[in-house]
Amino acid sequence: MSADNKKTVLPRNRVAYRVATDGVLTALALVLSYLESIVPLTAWIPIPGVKLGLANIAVLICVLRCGFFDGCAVNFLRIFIMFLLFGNVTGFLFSLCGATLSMLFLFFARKAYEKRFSAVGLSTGCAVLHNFGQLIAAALLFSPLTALGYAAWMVLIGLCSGTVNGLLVALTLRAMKRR
Amino acid sequence: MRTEKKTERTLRLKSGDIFLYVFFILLLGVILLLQFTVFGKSSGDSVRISCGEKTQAYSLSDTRTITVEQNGITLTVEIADGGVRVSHADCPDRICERTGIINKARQSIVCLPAHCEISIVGTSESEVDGIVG
Repeated sequence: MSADNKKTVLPRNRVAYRVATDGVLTALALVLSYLESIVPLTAWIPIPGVKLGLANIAVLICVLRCGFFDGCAVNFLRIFIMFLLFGNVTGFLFSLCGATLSMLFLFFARKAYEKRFSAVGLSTGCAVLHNFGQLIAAALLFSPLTALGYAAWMVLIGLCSGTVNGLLVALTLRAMKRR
Repeated sequence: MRTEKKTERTLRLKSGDIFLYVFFILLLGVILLLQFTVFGKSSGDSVRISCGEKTQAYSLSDTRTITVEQNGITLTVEIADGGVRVSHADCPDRICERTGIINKARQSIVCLPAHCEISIVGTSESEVDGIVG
């Protein structure tokens, strides 16, 4: 399995290939971000900032297939382009806080991928930490007590969305490997 | 046959995954405990509306309508029957409208686009508030 995985990781020297893949995945992440912004999830769960985090699928695939820094590039580019397109300053700051924390988690956890973590675990960790980053932003913007009031929800939502996204990542990677 | 075996392996949870899940569920427990100890004891008697730097306080027992403007967004806040709600907001997502009525201490309505938080504060002893979980 791990030998299989090493083969699917792209060689470092194929720069053009990596750039192209990163570009495609960034576009995919943007589309997924847009998609979840038109799905009115907050209509059913009225908590600010509740999202499926579908863009994480593209980021996680990029980290696992191309490498950590490519994943970082995809994630932060996505956030920046979303900001440019929609001009949502608050959302930008929240996303930035969340992404930084979840990428920090990935930086350490990705080394244990296949050995200790499956895609589901990585995705769940990312999702919960992403939500935690947003809580930190909320604590700074409002008050720590407000953030604490939402903390339980954020962890729970992170667990659910992270698991769903993780399964999607695992299935996608499997389909990519088969070809 | 081989692919089926592979499939099973791809989707199987690893030790680290289970550790993560257990850790996060424990974290959830700690947060809930913290919420109960911090928020559990008080029931509210006044409404605090903080938008950006400004903070205003109103009595919860009054009946009144307050209009707040912040970041180019207008919020209409209604206080009636011991509860508060945002009856109208012209921000794009209108989550604050959908939150509905809040009537217990430390509950809050947050409007992110407007940088506004409407919360109930108070010190008197009463039932545990039930928003958690």
